Amino acid sequence: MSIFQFTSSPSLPALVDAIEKASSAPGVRSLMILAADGNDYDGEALDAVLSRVELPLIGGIFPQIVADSNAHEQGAVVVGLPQALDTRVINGLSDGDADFEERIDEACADLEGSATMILLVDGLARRIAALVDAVYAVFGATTNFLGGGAGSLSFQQKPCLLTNAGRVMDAAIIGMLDGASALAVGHGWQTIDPDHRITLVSGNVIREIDDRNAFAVYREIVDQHSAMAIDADNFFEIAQAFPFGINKLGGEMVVRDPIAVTEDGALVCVGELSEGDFVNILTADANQLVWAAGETAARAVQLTKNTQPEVALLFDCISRALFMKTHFHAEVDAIEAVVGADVPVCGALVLGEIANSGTGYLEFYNKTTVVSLL
Amino acid sequence: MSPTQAVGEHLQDEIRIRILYELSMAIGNSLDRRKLLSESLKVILRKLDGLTAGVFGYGDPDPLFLTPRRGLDEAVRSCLSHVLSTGRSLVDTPAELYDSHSLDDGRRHCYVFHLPDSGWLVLTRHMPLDDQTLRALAPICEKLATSLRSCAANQELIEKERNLAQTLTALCEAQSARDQFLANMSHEIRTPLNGIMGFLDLFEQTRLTAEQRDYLGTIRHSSSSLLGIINDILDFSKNDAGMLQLEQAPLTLHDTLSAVVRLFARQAEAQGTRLYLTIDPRLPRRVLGDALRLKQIVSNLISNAVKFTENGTVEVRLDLLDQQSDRCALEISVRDTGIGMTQEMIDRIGQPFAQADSSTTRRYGGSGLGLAICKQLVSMMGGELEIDSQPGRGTTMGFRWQTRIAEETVAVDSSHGSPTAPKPLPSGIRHVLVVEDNPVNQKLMKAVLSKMGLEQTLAANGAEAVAAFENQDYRAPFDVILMDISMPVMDGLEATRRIRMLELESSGRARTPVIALTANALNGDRERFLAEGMDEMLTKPLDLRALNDTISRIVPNQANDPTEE
Repeated sequence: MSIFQFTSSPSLPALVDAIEKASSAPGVRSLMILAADGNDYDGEALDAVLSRVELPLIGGIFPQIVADSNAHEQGAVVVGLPQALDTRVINGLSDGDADFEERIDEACADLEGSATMILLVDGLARRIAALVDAVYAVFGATTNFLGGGAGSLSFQQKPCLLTNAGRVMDAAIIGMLDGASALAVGHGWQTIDPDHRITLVSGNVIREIDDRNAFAVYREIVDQHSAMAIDADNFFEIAQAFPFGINKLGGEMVVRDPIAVTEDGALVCVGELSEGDFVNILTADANQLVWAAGETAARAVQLTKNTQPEVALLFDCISRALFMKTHFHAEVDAIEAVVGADVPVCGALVLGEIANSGTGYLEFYNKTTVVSLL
Repeated sequence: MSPTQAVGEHLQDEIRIRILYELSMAIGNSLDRRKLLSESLKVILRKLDGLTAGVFGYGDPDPLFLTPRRGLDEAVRSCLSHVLSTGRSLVDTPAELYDSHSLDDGRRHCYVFHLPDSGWLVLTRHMPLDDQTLRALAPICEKLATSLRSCAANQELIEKERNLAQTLTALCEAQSARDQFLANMSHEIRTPLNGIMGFLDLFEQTRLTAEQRDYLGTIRHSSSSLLGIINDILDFSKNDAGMLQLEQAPLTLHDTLSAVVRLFARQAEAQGTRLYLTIDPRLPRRVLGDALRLKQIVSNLISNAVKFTENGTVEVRLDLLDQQSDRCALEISVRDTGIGMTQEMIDRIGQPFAQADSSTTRRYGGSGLGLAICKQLVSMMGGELEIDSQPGRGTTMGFRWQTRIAEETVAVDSSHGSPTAPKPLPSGIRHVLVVEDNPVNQKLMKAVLSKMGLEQTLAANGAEAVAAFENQDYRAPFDVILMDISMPVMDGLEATRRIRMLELESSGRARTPVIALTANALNGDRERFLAEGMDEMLTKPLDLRALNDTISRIVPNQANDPTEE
């Protein structure tokens, strides 16, 4: 029996079947469940299913899942992991007053550090960046972090994280995996217009760029490169191709995805920026992104030091897949080609990716591919 | 170098400059050290793609701040041991890279930067930093060090402010304790003094020899002086505690001032000093004000002038400065040709417990409170006590204030008959219940009431009074109750409430007037006592005439009470 189970069926019995098969595979000590939002499972029935799972589990309901060389709007992936898994839930992820370091300390007092942490968050919670900073402050530099934001593309917040106790929402699940992982992060976006300074920002809403109205500046640049002039109505569609990039010394830029423009011309992004940050306007075509995904997978493979991974776990951005449309399967193909036919590639298309790039500080990314080999 | 390499390096330079700019913008935005370091180190890690960042003080192996908290492993500790044991000897080293180490066979790199006068910044990374970046980080370290020094200075200020606040609280508590002590002591001293004064009144009415009358005069004078001082202390502490308020009742300025001046006429004459009063003829006859406090102020000013003037003159003036419809501006001044004061002495006037010169206490006596109280009272009237003096030439003290002109009404005094002839008590009053815990006052009340021809029953506290009221003999009921307020077991207010309840329960019983007696009346007390069911309030020391008048006024009113059958 394989540790990797995929069902394209949206039915709960299909999920139960996948869970049972993955659980009974030899050497499996814990489970990861990645389900598509399009399944529209009955919540209470799903809770009952999860509470019956005897192995420790971590999972989520995501906009789409990745399996079988492509993205799926329905179905589920269940991965039986040969490593022990210890999970903790951090609640109140939108709580404006929460000191997440304190909450993590309380919840994880008896949790040993390990080489790999799977960090899944409710992607529609309001304080993901604060949680990510707190997780790094507590668990630090010797852990590989990977994960992302669960939730629905309807942008309606609902229970989307899966635990042995059932579904939870507005929370984060910290899953300590007792085993090494090889991790790489990449995106392939290229600068087309550099050096714009964020001069007024509140959290994830950019109000001014270069001391001017943010949308006015953004529109001037995008209109030079886009076939269609950008306005409030077509903003989401056009802006998908023109994200912001924040520089990091010696590392890949951190991508920030503008998803909406407000009436007063502020740009709403997925993830926070800081006043004083220099941002570049980026773009890419599908080929560049596909190439970058393959290159990212190659870096991960290099880190395995010739040990054979059981599975390639992919957290890829949903907006990247929406941008690539039918080309997205090529991205999965590129990764599969690099990791090899023996290693199943599965994962989720998420609302923001979480990883520490394999080399440094933990980040919340947009439009980025996180490949980990477990 | 190939063109491609050159372009690549140029790009890296540009990125480096932007990142350093971002770092410099992000550092130093808080005066709280923990917040500063938390925010700054997070940005340093993010922008420089670091693994661990920490700040250490000189000679301290424990970091001031470290992120991530588990980032200080043995390898890092070991390469920091030299720096961290160095202490402050390197305090003047510039902000720059001080030390660097390659760890884990080159898989990690540890950099130690000096933060002048603050300590060390430690940064670990997977990838090494190039020399250019390391040099470029020096200004960032300088800014972080400056920010840390600002935090320390701010912390020092906060601690100083906290200490000052604590000192202020302690001072206020001490002040409050002192005021309470003064008020308590004044009360405690006044109680026996009231006994002395009361018995002196009675004693004076007995048959005395000329010598005895002379001695008695001296005792009376001394007692009055002592009572004056005690009253001053009480006034001062009341005012300090914000419990003193001025009345706004019609008063006749001419009469008020004349009475005060007359008080000092004999003393001035004995010192060969001419004391006279000059009143502006344009003055309105009656104004609104607090006659008692006005007398107190003027009395203090004249007392001082007379005290420090021998064979000279003391002129008391009351001038009208301005008059508009129902308001007028007035000035009172007391000018003497006495010993005068230096500016230093003047500056000390008005400070409680301080006299212009300590030698004056020895020579002229006085508590030093009188003028302090005057200053407070004048200030409450909206004026300012002004002093003009020259040593050897004399002193002028005075103040200006504004007040409203009182409407002329029919004189009310006439209804009370001649001030010197107490109204005779109504014939129906025979029996008084005296509620008083102090044995001296009990004795005094007994003597006073006997002299008025009244029978009395004594209760030593409120509970005894209620019992006596309940068990009174209806053939000789209490016609009036003199009720002390502050007593052990049960106070006068509670006793009055219970007596009123008993009267309500026994519908056929007439209401018995209750007169409150208190040695320490505050503004609003009378209204409070009346609201509790009492009928009038008298202050101790008990004035025979006031007692007589009050009983005469209250009891007939009660007799006409329609509730009385």
